[in-house]
Amino acid sequence: MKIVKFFLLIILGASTSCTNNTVQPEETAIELQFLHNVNGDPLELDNIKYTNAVGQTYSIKTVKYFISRVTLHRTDGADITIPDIHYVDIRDDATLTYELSEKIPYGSYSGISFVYGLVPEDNVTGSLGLEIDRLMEWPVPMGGGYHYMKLEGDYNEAGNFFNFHSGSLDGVDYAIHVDLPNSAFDANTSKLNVGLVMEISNWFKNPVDWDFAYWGSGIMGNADAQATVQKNGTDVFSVSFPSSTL
Amino acid sequence: MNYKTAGGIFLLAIAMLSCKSDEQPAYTPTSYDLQIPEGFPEMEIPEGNPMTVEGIELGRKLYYDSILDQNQDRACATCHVQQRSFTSGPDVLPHVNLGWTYNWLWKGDVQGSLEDIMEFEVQHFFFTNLDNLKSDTEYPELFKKAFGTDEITYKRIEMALAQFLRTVNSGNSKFDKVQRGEAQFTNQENLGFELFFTERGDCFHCHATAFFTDGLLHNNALDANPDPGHFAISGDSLDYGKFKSPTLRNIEYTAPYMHDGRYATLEEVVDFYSEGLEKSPTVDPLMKQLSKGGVQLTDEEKAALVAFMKTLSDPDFIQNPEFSGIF
Ligand code: HEC
Ligand code: HEC
Ligand SMILES: [Cu+2]
Repeated sequence: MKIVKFFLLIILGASTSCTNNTVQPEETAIELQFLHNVNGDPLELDNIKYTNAVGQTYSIKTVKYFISRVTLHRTDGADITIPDIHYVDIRDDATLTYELSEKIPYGSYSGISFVYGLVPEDNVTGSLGLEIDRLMEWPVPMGGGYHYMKLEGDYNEAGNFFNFHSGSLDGVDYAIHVDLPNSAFDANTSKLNVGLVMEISNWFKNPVDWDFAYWGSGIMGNADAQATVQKNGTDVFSVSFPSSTL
Repeated sequence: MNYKTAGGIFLLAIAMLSCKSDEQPAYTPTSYDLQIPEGFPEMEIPEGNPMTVEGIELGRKLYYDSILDQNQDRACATCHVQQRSFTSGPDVLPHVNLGWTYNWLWKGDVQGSLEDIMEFEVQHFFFTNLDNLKSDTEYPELFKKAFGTDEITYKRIEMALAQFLRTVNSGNSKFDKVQRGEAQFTNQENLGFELFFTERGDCFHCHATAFFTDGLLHNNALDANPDPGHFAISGDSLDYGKFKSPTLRNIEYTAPYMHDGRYATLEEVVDFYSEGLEKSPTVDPLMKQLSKGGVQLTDEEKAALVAFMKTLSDPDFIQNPEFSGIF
């Protein structure tokens, strides 16, 4: 019993000295909120009310994707990359807000960047756990890993489906390193809310006007299609800082 | 400081252990070392129900014993027959790799662990009468061996059944042997494998992972006027016609197919996915060739897909004496 007390004292001593010595650091927690628009307005699911650049009408039924490696760029040049991988499903509210696992120090930041999808190092079959495997697995015969995104809906008429599934194909990396425009901010509060907006219609244009009929309803095995998705995706994301938190 | 704290905790743990040794050693059943097939993820075993040799033995005995049924005229194994990957009849779901399952029954009636679905089976399907077990000559002793007490409760029955079912795993099919480099597909099986795992045949999105199921609910376009499916549980019209994607492991042994057993053979199933799809409002967009009636396979491709599905058969599993009713 003596030994027990002795070590308990050490533990207590160690833990109290710890809180005594440290000054509360000035840090900001960042909470991302995922927003999904079509032509500037919030997405309305399951409604064939949108029109793409080649004149096809379409609906959106499924939006599931990964964002990873969020990086906060300090004006002094130091970058903070958070190693998190976050899965978003528009039909699962719990995935639509997400606090980064690390806080960032107060200061002035020149911008935010992140990876749409998964970098090759993160894109390993089985590494994200069974629940995610079930939802996003990319078959090993097509290179393995995970879908970056499953975007699905109807085009022209109900039941005429497209599956806009993107991912790395046969080991070729089609993830997008997104530098968010106009994303400079000052971290000077304990929490900062950041809206991350996906403009879904931009997947289907600039530079390539996407024709659902031409590409076919499934594009996972088509390297041309995957490269086109990657090109079209560079301007899909933008940032919004809710004014209340500034 | 961290190092010191860690050392302190370690010594503290040792000190506590040595304190305990004064007490009478409590009975502990023999812990069981579950062997997980290569390529399968770890199984989550609830802390409150560790697997033990005695618990598994008890679970197996209960599974094969009609004493669980309130009328004592059927056992679990009456409908869940090992030689058929623990199915029988048109709509019985198989018992294979259930330790990795969390979404239960065709309509997704129950979510949770094996213990949770066992609660449903024992208390709301079999309406087990505990007195039958309590007055039995063997069971009180077997519960004592498994749980250290001869008090028989629903919870302990469910725990024992769950322990047994966590051992009922299949991972030694030809498919698994090919993955491990111990066997080779024929050309036909290889074509079927390619079709299955690419969008040409497009089966992998729902029959996903090492378990050949995503465990989720989908309307796979069986009918223009589908059965209600998960709608009967949730009341949400978006859930109309949705059923659980079943595992395809041991699919050769589990005919007939679909929730109502409408297809007698795998050939009929493949014909359906090839050209038999029916439109209804909640069909899953993953059935992406719906507007063409299906993925439109040639006869050669159809035969290949069936041949591939048969590589998921695990004869060792359906003959494994450890899962059988012969003790
Ligand atoms: C009369 C036949 C019958 C008996 C006896 C029976 N079952 Fe079943 N079992 C079924 C049927 C049919 C289903 C599918 C029902 C459904 O999905 O609505 C099923 C489904 C299940 C499932 C769900 C599997 C899954 O993948 O979701 C489990 C687990 C199960 N049974 C366990 C048991 C246990 C344990 C017993 C004994 C206590 C038992 N069953 C007795 C017919 C039976
Ligand atoms: C959209 C998801 C989805 C896709 C894609 C899919 N399935 Fe299924 N599969 C299901 C569902 C859901 C069921 C059960 C449906 C029911 O009974 O109502 C099922 C049932 C089956 C069954 C019967 C299983 C049993 O135990 O009765 C087989 C066999 C099968 N699918 C094979 C395939 C093959 C082969 C492909 C590719 C050609 C495929 N599936 C594509 C979802 C899917
Ligand atoms: Cu896909």
